Amino acid sequence: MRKRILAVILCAVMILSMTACGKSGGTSNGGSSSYKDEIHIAYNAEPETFDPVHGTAMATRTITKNIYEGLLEMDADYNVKCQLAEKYETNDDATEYTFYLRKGVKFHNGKEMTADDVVASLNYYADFKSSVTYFATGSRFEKVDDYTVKIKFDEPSAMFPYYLVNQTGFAAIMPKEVIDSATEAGVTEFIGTGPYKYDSYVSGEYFKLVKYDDYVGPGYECNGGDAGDRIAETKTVYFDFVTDPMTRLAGVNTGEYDIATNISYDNLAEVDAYGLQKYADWSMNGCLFMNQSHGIFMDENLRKAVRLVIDPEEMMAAAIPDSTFYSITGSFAGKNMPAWYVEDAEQYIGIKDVDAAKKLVEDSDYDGSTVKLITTSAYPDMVAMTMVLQQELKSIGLNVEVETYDWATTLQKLWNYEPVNENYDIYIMCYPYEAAPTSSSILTLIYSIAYADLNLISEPMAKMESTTDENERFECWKEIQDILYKNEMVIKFYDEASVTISTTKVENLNNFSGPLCWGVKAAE
Amino acid sequence: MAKYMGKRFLFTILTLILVTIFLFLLTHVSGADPAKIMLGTNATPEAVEAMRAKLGLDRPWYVQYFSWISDLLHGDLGTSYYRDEKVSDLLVKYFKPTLALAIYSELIAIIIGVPMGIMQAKNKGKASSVIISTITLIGLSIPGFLLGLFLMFFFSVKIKIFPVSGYKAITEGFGEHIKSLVLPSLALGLSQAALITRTTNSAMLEVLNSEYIKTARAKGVNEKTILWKHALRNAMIPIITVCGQSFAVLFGGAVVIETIFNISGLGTLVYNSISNRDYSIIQGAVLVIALVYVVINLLVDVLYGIEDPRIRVGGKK
Repeated sequence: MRKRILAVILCAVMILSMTACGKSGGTSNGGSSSYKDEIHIAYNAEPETFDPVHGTAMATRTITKNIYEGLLEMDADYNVKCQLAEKYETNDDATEYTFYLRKGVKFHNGKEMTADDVVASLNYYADFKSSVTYFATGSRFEKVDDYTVKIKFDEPSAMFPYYLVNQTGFAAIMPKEVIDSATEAGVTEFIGTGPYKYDSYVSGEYFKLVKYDDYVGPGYECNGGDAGDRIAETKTVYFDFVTDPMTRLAGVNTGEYDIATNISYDNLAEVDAYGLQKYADWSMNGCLFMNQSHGIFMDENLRKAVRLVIDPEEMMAAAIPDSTFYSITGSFAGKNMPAWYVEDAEQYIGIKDVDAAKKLVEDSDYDGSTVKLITTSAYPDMVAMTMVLQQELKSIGLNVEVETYDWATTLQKLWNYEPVNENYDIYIMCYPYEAAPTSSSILTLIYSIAYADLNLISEPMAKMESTTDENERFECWKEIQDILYKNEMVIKFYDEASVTISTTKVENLNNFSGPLCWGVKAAE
Repeated sequence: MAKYMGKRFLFTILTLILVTIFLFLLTHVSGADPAKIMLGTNATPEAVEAMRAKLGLDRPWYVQYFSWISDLLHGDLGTSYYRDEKVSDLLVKYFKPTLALAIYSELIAIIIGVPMGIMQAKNKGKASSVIISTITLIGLSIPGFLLGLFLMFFFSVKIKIFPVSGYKAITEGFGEHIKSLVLPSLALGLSQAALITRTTNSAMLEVLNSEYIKTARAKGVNEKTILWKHALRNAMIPIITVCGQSFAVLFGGAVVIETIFNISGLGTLVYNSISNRDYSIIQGAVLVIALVYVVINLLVDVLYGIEDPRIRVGGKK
């Protein structure tokens, strides 16, 4: 009898659990449209902050770009365009900028955006950036009238518009009162002018956005970047935080999620087998840094030997099995950034001259001491590249060891802020694209972890900041790359795309350093 | 019994103090700097130093330790470096899914493990015993994450009766709640069931071979009564021990399963905090896990006393 009762209870629990299921996903317009009202994006990382200025993680940017807009934004080709600004002007020596604001733009709280909000937002941005980097130190935005703001610099700053469209920690425009009530940790309310407004956030689970019906764009078409009219096609968007890549893949396959980001390169075969859509999200530059403060790479000839021997194709093939998701390039801004792509830089990489490299090693004072390659388990593709590099360096007579650490320890090993760093010799890592190549992390890292002499490029860098002529600026940028390579300061050898996938029902999905929610829709 | 309990309680307090010291040393000698991780790769040395001072990380470790202990005694576990949330609030939030997962997994482990162990002991030498032994071996050999992926592939991807990921609180409906935890609970519970089966089997075999069981059989006592009343009761001590241990393991060691099934539990919180070197969360979370361990051990000791009078009598001497 007891067995029967137990069996009945178990059956009841199972039936209950089977029947009460399914993620709610309504239909547009009460079922009259064939598109879903709600899409779910399985996102790989949960940001520590949703303050668009404080957040240095790509996750903060991807999510909050839907809520906030800047005065300026980047289009898909990395050109700077007006977004909340109607137009902007600069004086001849690029020391003063005046921004004219669009009228009638409303924040999600219903208030119209005016110069007070813009000044508060941009000074909030400048304050934070100047405490972290060397951005805009000392300069303040000022209100001219209700729809005009300006900023003055002591030195020419021709690249300033590019600094305003930084990828991470971007210059979002928010209401003044939100800035005024911000704590040390950042803003506590998420109110912008973008096509989606903040609805709710459950830590560890999701960030929910709902369509902002009163959104007014700048009046030109968005070409797949951040700039232009951001027309929301779906009422509700969930960023579901799913850390395991296999789970994200399985979730898109079952339809639990519509889109998933950062799928492992090792799972591309499954993506194809399931018949899912895949997208390349080009957003990373990859470099090889050699420690010039200590050890054998203080010798320029040994740095050159490394550049001569490495085979970028072999390294990338080991890291990313599908060549759709990487591109071998020596330009510090790859082909995906046409405005800054330097074709001449390609001559410096992919030489694969083992004999010449070997000779440089033999002619040097190298005494067989251990060369430490440092890498991080947080990025398996970097580990794979480092392993191939180890073999390539062994082939020219270097005694190479690989040390693998978690991300936090790797950071600690690389940045010791001392005049000499004895923790490593070579490190490979990729860094996000930035609109301004001069504000790219790579240039900072050449100095901060590789200890290269940045004075060598200070002249063309200063010239880039002082000229408003685009052609002249590009020539300076070319010269900078030439100097970096000729002095063997760093080896830029690839661009990398992360893999975003979606069900076959998803349409109009664009990636621009993360999936863009506006425009995207999913058929029922 | 009171003296016995008192001794156990003092031991518990001492264990927790040692855990806090060990934990503090371990997190602080790991070397990585939370300030650097927080500020990103473009941070200036001055900004990093300012952040270290703001977080109180520029003080010697023992000063930080006593400050933390002092706050702890006032019921304050501190604030997360990253999230601007109180550690205690985060722990409460992340504790619930882990507790639910551990309870369901343990139930699965006991419901399957104890009867299988008894059956295996009862049928020693027969085919059913060999089959159970083989199943147990397989259960112990398959890593939980692999079983989890297999269960997900079969039940979520192929026949689509359970969700791939996510946790639903019981307040969102009991059906949804159970459904979200069936696969992760099975992935965790089955290997623990194998362990409990083995322990139950060996404990039962030892008891079934004892003199008093032979005497009972000679006196013609019913085999069912011998098995369930006399043998099982006397085999309970190791079974209680292994059940207690497995619950503690499930509680503190579910991080991989939590990650695969996207459950925001304590394991995930600790893992992410270790990656970011968010010391305040690591310290709080590990303290909670250690507390669960010692409380379970305390409960197991109490159950020993209830189950075996000799233990509590020994305490009175």
